[in-house]
Amino acid sequence: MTDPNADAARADAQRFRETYESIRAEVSRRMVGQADVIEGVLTALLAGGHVLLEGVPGLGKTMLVSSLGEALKLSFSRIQFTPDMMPADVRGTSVLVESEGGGHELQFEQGPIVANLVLADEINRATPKTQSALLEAMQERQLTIGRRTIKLEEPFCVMATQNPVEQEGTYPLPEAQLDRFLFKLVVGYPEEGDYREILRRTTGEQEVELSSVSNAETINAMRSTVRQVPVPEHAEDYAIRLVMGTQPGSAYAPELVNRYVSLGSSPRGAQALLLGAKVKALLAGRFAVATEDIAAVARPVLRHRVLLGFEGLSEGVTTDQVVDEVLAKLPVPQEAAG
Amino acid sequence: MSADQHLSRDLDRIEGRAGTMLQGVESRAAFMAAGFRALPLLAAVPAVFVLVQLMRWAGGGEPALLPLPFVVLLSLLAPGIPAARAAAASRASRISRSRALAEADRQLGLSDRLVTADEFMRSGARTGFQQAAVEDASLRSEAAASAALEAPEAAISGSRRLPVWGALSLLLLALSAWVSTLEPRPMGGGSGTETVAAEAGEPLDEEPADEGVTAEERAAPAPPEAVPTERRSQDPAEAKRSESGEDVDDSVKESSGRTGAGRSSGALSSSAASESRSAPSTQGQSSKPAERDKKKRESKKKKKERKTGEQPTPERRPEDEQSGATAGKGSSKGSNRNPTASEWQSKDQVTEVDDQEVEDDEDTDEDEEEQENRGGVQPSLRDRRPPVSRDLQIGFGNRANPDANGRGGPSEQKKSRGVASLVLGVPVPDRVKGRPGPGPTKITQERIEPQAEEAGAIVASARAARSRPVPALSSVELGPQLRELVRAYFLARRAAAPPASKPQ
Repeated sequence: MTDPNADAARADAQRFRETYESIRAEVSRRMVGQADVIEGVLTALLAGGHVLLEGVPGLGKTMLVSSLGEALKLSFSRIQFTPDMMPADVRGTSVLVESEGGGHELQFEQGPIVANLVLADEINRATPKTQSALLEAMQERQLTIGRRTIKLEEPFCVMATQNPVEQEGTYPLPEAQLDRFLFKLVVGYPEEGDYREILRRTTGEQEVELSSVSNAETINAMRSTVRQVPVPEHAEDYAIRLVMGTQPGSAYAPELVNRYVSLGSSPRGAQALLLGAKVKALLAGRFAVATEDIAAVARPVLRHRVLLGFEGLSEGVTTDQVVDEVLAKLPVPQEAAG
Repeated sequence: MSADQHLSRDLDRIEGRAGTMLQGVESRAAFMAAGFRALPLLAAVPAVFVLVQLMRWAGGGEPALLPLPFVVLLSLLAPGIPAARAAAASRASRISRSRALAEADRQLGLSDRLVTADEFMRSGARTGFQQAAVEDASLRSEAAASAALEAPEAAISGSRRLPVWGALSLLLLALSAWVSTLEPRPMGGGSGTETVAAEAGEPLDEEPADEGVTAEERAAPAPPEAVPTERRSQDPAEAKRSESGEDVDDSVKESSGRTGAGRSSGALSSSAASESRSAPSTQGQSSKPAERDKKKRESKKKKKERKTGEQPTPERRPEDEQSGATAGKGSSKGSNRNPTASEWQSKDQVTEVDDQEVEDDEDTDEDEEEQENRGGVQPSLRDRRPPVSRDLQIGFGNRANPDANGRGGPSEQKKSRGVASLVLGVPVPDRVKGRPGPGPTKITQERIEPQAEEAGAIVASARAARSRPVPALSSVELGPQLRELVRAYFLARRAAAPPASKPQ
């Protein structure tokens, strides 16, 4: 005889896996390859976070996000960031409109940020002033314009793309904004076998039409399920030590971190680790977070939260190497406890 | 039995098995680690044994102390004792339950299911997901309880030193075995110290006999190499004197008379009182009358030698300088004079004393002699000479003025001879401090009448607009050239710094 609460949890977890799989399959109809990136984007979406996609042009970053919007039947908006954009172009502003009586009145026109799924394309081409227009929306899920505060609808997810190569005329994202992205996913080149399928799908007559396999309510329910996944104490300890391991001078920081890293992850990184690990645990058919789930999301969670020092940059050290070093040197809490 | 009880029982079994296994691994690791740390003892025991053997052999005893197998056993036991203690201490510590279950999770690929279920079972009320996690673990616990667990390998460092210390221990054991075969050393024969003493050619008549020598050996005429070792313990000054025989150098005696350095301790103590009474006179004047007579004789003898054209020996000067330089030190024994006084101060003081004590020409000559021996002639007021003429009159025609000496202008003839005693005895180098000033500043004031000037009116105008837009801010990223420069800089620093762990 089993516990009814446990049965409900098992049903929720089963539903979660099925929905996740259906969304992933629908997006994969248009996106060829890039399984890790699709999984990462979906994980961040279901964990309630935002995603920063980084990759060279032509790898399908924008197509991935737009495909996700189609498959999820969510309100989708795209903001093409340019150097001359202003914060009002993102958040919205009050415009003077003619009223029925022949007079004029100020009416607020909300910006493109008010949507479920926001594609911030080439986000690093906007000035820091415009980029900072996203800060409140990403963290507080609301917009404050003058005396007006707009609550953003859930699910709200910002998926930003940036090109790591073209640095001329771009503005690197400030740390405060980088920290608000749950994952930073690096989009790489497709494999050799995927090229043929990409060419066939994109150069033929037929276009792939995606159908909606989910909606906002389902996504919110899935997010709620993710929040219910318990985290045992040893997994919490592991996440905390992992984040502390990226901070130079801490007790868990390896020599590589002490030498090359100037700024480690914030506590937001630990939150992101656990949220991502919960999704991973559900997808793995477990009902609690394990240390391996945390380790699995460590790279996308921590790579943009670690700021390399001058020496690290000149030595060509990458943040992925730093995270890998921390993972390798950090013992699992039970083993360390003795 | 409920599912929880089943799971709890299975977890207990798994914990027991995994804990026992981990404890064995840890105990083994602690034993090995402590053993490797104590590896120097492997060589220390034979080394001590060899040292004891050598000391016994040097003392004339039997070098073999213990049988060799016993030494080998001791050498092996020495590092084993701390290792066994470490292993026992490790076995006494208990492996935690969570660690044992985590090890089982790791080996069986259960992704922390067992340790998570154990934690949730210990908590009070469970959520649906916690209960689901516990039930999920109970499905796998029975299989896990019966699964075999492999002991993980513990990383032990220090094993590379084992061959080094082992080889060293073997070497010392072999040395010990060789020392054991040595014959006991005879104690009555001539030793190296006796040989040294015999080579010195010391007379043996008045020396006491060695206690270790037998009656027959004492009765027999002592061979040259049978000089007792007590002979070496005599006073070094006495030994020096005996080496040089009765023909002691007079300078040595004189030096000892002046400074007290060459005297024996008895002589020093007896003369301390007289030195303190005649405090300032520390160079010869403080000596006893007998010594003074001796010095007088010596000075006369030297005077004769000088008359015959002989120069003083070069070895004499440093000795005399030394005696002069130590005048301050010698006087510090019995006088209030500052012992750190310079050499020249001491000489000046001596000079004053000399002037006071001059009584007759003979004494003056002797003082002069002594002063010459110390490095220079002190001025004396008694050797008066006529003052030099200061007349600068040029000669008449081709004849030179016999009185002109070029010392000054036409003035009346100098009557006094000057204070020759104030002439510096030490050459003082000329010093030029700073540089001559530029002289007084001369200010000349000229009177000029003011003149009126026409001032043009300036029309105010607005500031013109900027002709070009403000350039864009440069990127904070490093350019390729600067990046290469920075990289080269850090590579150079890295080459100079000690090696560190490289990134993967």
